[in-house]
Amino acid sequence: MDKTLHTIDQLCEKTGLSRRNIRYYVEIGLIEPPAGRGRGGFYNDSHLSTLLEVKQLQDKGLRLSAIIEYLKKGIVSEKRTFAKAQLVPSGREVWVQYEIAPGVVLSVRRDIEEQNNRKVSEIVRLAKTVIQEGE
Amino acid sequence: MNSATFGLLAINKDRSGEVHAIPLLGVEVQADITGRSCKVKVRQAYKNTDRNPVEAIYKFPLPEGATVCGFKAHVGDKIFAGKVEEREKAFERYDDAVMDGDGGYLLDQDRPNICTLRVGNLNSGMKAVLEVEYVELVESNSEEVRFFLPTTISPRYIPGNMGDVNGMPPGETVNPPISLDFPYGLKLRLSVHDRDAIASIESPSHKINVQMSDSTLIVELSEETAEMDRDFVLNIRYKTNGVSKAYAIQKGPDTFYQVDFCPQMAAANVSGMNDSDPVKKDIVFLLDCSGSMAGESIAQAKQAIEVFIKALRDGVYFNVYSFGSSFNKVFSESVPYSSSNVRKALNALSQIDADLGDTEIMAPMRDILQRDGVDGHKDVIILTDGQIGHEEEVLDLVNGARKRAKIFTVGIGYGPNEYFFKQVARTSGGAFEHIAPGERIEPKVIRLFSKVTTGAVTDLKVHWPDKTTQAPENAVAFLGSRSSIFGRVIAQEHPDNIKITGTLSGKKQEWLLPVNASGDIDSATPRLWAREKIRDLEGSIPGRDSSVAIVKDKKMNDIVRQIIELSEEFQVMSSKTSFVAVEERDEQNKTLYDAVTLRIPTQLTKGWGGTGKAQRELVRYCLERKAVSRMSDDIASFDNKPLYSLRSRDVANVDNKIAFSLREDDGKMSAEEPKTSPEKVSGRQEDAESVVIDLLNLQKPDGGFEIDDNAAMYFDTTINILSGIANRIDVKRMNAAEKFLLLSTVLVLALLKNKYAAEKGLWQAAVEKSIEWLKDECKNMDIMIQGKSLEEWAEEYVKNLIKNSC
Repeated sequence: MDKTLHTIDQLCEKTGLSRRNIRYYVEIGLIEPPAGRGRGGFYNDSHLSTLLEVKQLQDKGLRLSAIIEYLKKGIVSEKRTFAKAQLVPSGREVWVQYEIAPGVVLSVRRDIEEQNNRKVSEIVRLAKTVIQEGE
Repeated sequence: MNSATFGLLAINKDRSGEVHAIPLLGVEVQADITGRSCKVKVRQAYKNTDRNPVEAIYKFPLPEGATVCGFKAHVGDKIFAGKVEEREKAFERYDDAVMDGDGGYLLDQDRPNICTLRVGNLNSGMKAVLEVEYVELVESNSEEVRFFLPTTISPRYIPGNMGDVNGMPPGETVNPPISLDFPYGLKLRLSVHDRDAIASIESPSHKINVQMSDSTLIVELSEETAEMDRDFVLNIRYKTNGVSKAYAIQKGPDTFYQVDFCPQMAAANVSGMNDSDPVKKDIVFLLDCSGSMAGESIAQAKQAIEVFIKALRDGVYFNVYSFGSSFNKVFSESVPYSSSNVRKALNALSQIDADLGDTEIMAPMRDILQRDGVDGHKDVIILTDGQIGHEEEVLDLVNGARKRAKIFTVGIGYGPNEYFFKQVARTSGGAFEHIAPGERIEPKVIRLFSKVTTGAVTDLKVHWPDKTTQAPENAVAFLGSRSSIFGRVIAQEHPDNIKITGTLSGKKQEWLLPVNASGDIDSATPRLWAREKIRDLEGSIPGRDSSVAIVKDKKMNDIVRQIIELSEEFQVMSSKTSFVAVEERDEQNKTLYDAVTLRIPTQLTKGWGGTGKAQRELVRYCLERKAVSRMSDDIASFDNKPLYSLRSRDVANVDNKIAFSLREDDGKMSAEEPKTSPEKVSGRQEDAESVVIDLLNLQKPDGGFEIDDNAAMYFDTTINILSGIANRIDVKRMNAAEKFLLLSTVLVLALLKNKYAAEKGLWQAAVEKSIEWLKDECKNMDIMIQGKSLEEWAEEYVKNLIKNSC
């Protein structure tokens, strides 16, 4: 077990992240809270390496949401928005695919999607709510 | 509606699943208003009724023009005053205090109109009152001064491609959690000084009580506390207006100037277009049709566009865009003004609704700005509630197109994003109007319209004493509107007068303002100068978000350094500096355990997203399932973040006070908006205005007025009778309908001129247009009726009408 301990200031210095950021990442569970009494606790090398990785990915231009996914699952994928739904040719028709969640996709034929843009958007949003609240 | 609606509810559990009460008891606002100058104190009372120590985080709005100059924590009988420091250093000081078990208080600026306050280490049973003080010069057109206080932050749309802000997801910076149940409300006490100068006071947003005390009017809310779900608006009409003034304040080695400039023209075409104006106008309307505009907002916006379009004249080019997740335009390029084009546009407008999804404003803006306007210039009129989180991206685009396009904005809704709709207009040298729900649209649209057509004072130059630093650097002024321009110079004396030069309506003008020395040591002017200077500097930092502290470019570093220096010198908050206060405690009062972080939710803005069926379904669904999610779509997978919620029991008890009024009906829940009507205190003024607006609505696109059944009552007659009279008009080439239109027009013109002269500002543009139409119709002939000319006959008719009604 690595016994090197770091204060938050040392962590800031070594990672280039601000205190504000580090506190926030603890709050959202990206890293575990420091050991010891309250915020005055100490961080260990595992905290340090995670944060260094986060900083590296940020410098590469990745947003936090993508970084979190990467750290969770080891894959890098930028969040898809409605505007960037995929067009998928299928035979002589073109379909539009919306990703609801990894492995869950809504496919709508393009002409129908164009005429019912609002309804489709709402279906996708509701679907996302259903999936996310189940977690 | 957009993906941000996922965060409609939040759970008030911490990581271990424990439920906590909201530690905010209430918000009290106290203000002193003298003319346009406001000194405001916002007091938030926090109390920890939990058995754990708590860190409360509250994200709340302020007017975007506010200069935050004070921050205090009242704990017991002690007061801890905050100081302004660089943002991250301030956080460290706060954090150090909290680590040591002391009380920490931090106020950050996320946007000019959004602040985040942190109350650290609030022990169990402890109470603290946090006070934020700001000064502001509120807007005024010549007639009215408008005091405005936002109370909630509407959900901002965060576009999918928006990057993180300094390591944090963008939604985090602007979107607080939202709930439907609140233990806290708003109290208000405004002291409006100089009672004798005031003609009227009214609030379109809330019911108010006004009491007199010496030379002050005290304004309070009728209810003891109000819901914090909409902006508070107070309109004060003063007796004399439109006077330009200049003040000089001595502070240390410096003299600070405040120039309140309200340009008037001696004798000129005050509204409408200058006939000799060689520049053709290309006016593009951009209508926000995103989900948040549904309901009243989109209805108001559409009505405003209609009023605008009807006021346009020959020679103007125009187009109408609508946008949401995608955008549409009525014509592929701007088209010339004509009856048929107007008909097409109004037709398309009637079919538009707030159903286009997200607020992706960049796409239509780019489309508009990359096409050259007629004569190389465009005027863009954006009607929106401004609910976006990527203000800076839009501002960059607009700034780049400054020479080719002016942006005018109409901010709409119960809680529009003031920073967005005002700053966009300012950045491009345009103007803005804000229409609160319940307010009359027409007067404001007409006022904005005259700014679009007559234009600004161009080549505006204030002839300051040598070496004076002006703020804002690019001052903009419009006829009849008040702008304040500040100056700072190292000097101990000031001149008697300050000269301002500029071009207005094609004519070079000069104004001479006498300078009054102000002996007020507490004067806000130095701070206001500082805030404007800081704003200029913040605006000169290119890039996505001006709250980014870590910059690599040396030039940007320099700008940031200047901001921090000014901020600290004048103790005013900025995007790079925060207020921090530390409450040192004795050992026995220090917080021993880790405080639980609780984010205080805000109320969903009234009328947000309308009350459409889909919206209700989503609310119902979320309530039934107690869906847990975050305002920011980016971290939707993190559900262990402490937030707030309603238990299903509470849902049944929710009553009329909230934005959605929920009823249980055969096991199904439905929602309807409680009806409110604006309360107006002024009397006669409103009646005349209503009549004039009714009459103006009779105007046809080419300029004639057509009296209908309703309007006939203003002439004490009926359409049948008028038709009969019209048939006696002696013009062979006209049919009955044309004659009726002719008669209607001269009657309306006569009535406006004779009975409603006081409302000239409202009808002048429309009347000028009508007179031109008349000239065309009459083809330079005197049209006779019953032996008199039409005009004579109409004048007589109206004069009799007025005589008989008295």
